[in-house]
Amino acid sequence: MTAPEHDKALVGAYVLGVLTPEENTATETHLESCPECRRELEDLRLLHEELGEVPPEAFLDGPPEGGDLLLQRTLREVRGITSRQRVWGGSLAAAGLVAVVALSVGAGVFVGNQSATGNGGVAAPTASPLPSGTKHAANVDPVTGAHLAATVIPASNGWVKLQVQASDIAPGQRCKLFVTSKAGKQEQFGGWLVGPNATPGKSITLDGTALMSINDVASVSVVNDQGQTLVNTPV
Amino acid sequence: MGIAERWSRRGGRSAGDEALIRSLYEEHGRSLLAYATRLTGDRAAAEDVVQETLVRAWKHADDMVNNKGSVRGWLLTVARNIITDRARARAVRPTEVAETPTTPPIQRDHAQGVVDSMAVLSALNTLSAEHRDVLVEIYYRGKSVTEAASTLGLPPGTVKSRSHYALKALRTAMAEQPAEVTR
Repeated sequence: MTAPEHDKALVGAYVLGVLTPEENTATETHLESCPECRRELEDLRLLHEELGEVPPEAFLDGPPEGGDLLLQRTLREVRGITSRQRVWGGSLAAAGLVAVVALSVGAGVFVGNQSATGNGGVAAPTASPLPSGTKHAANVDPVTGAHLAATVIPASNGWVKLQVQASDIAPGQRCKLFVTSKAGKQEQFGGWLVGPNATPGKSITLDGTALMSINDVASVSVVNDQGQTLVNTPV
Repeated sequence: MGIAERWSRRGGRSAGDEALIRSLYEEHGRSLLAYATRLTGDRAAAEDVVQETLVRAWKHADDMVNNKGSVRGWLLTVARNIITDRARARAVRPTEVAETPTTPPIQRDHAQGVVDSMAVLSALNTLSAEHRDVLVEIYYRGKSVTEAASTLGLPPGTVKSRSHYALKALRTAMAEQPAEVTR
């Protein structure tokens, strides 16, 4: 449909505003006498507007200037989420939890934007992140073999929400959950009785709160009614 | 597409996760950070936005890869959404009322089902390098014909005619794009 005389009009270049005043005049003269090119002009004008949807930065390539600190931060966050999903993701698959918590022994603390939990108290990986500053920790006691995974979520006004999963604690134990501050202050935030038929690897999930600032939290532990610490995890 | 292949090998999950983030950062980091910096006017805030964008890309890699448009367009759209949400949250949140434990701040994660609103970008990517380059120089970099001619090593007359044909080629590319799928 494009005859040479239409090409001389360069309607596209006209729309882009790159023609000289003389070329503009010539194009406008042609447009007056050519319905086909006028249609094209309308088309290309609309398209020209659509170009504006794309920001000019879309045409920059490569990594950001100034090092890869941002990359390292992002990788840390993703590692934190992955670790947490490994621990929590197996919450209902007991064997999975054992394997996973065992893996994280010695890994110590995972910090990052973590996945949220539902209101029911069962931790599950979801798409929406927990508040920033949420800390995650897991440990297995080398002596008792008890497993503990804890998520510490900062709340406003200097208190924290805690979610823990524990398993492999000897049947019949009366357990108390404690959070310990850096100054050594202990606060109980939950407790339960391990059933007589507790299956190794089967975990229990408990939620609690403690009047302690997230920055003061040093560790979370399970202590029995004899005062023996069954498992402790630094946060 | 490299990312899709890398991602589909979910076996080595952890190594694959890092490879995905790294490759997105290496390829799109500069673009994302520059865009977020312009929109927020704050480099530190922009870095947070880029970090969140990359994490969402990782969480929704399938969605990003299956998106009809370009990965770049998806990432820029998500970054823009994050910035819009944050601005909205700041505007809405009453400053004196503390958050209560029962009403955590709502955080939308609409990276899922994001439709690349930059359809033009993927159409641009289908153009020949000659056509694409001339449009980028003239339109997005705001170069004059003389400047673009010098950058591209072309006579000014060629820049004009090529920009004309590039715009027409873009129109064809837009028409050939698959219709956006509503999810």
